[in-house]
Amino acid sequence: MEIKRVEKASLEIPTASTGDIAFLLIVFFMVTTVFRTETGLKINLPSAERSKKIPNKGIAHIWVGEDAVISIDDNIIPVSYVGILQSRKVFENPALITSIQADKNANYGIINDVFDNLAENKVLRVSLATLKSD
Amino acid sequence: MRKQRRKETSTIPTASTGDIAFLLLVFFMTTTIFNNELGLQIVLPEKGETVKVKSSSIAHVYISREGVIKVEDIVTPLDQVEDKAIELLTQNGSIKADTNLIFSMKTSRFCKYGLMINTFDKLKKAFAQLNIPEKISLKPSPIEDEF
Repeated sequence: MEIKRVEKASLEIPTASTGDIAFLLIVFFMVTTVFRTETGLKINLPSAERSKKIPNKGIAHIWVGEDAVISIDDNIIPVSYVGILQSRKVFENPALITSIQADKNANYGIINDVFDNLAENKVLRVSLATLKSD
Repeated sequence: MRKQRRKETSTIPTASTGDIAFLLLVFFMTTTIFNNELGLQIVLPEKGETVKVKSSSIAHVYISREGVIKVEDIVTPLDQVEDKAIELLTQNGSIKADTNLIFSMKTSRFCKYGLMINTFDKLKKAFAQLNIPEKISLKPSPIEDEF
């Protein structure tokens, strides 16, 4: 009786599919990435030399237009609601920075009202959005 | 006598496509820049939190309705605000030893926000040049306080 020789298994890992896997990853992240969708208002930011980068995580915007229109999350709201809305966001994320995107031709009075309303609602970490100037 | 031709393999080698795809992935991961926002950070004072400060350690900066800037009651053009602030913070070219000077900015409600930012920026620059912590307070200017 003849003993059949055991066939040697191939030692190679099949690599033909790694390309598919990687492309799948690319496609997955391309599809699931959501960029900021808030459109805000059309504004001309002022420029400042001491502008600093603010961390991308945990920013909530307040848009203040030239004609004193205030927008949060694409809703036009009166100034008295700014603090309440923001404080709710700060409650969820205490490290949140409120970024005030205000038009350089807006009156300071409206910005001041926003400051007051934020402070009243204990929203104290604020960044005034600017462009970098040299 | 005819030699039979050997048939060549007709498959494309696929072992390297994975490497190519990962290379692409890594390339785009490293070159993608999420644009960070720029801004001037401030911390608002808590309501009811009033600190008494000696009036001698406050430097008043007023911005009027028409956009005239006054530093310690002297009309100062915007491009001289920084020098003026440095002058107030230093003595004979060196930083004052007991520098508790606080700049108090009072801006008219009818003044343009852009001008207030520019002035604030200049004050910040003055502090940065001297390498001392910023002490700037943003005070509202009550309407009856218009000048």
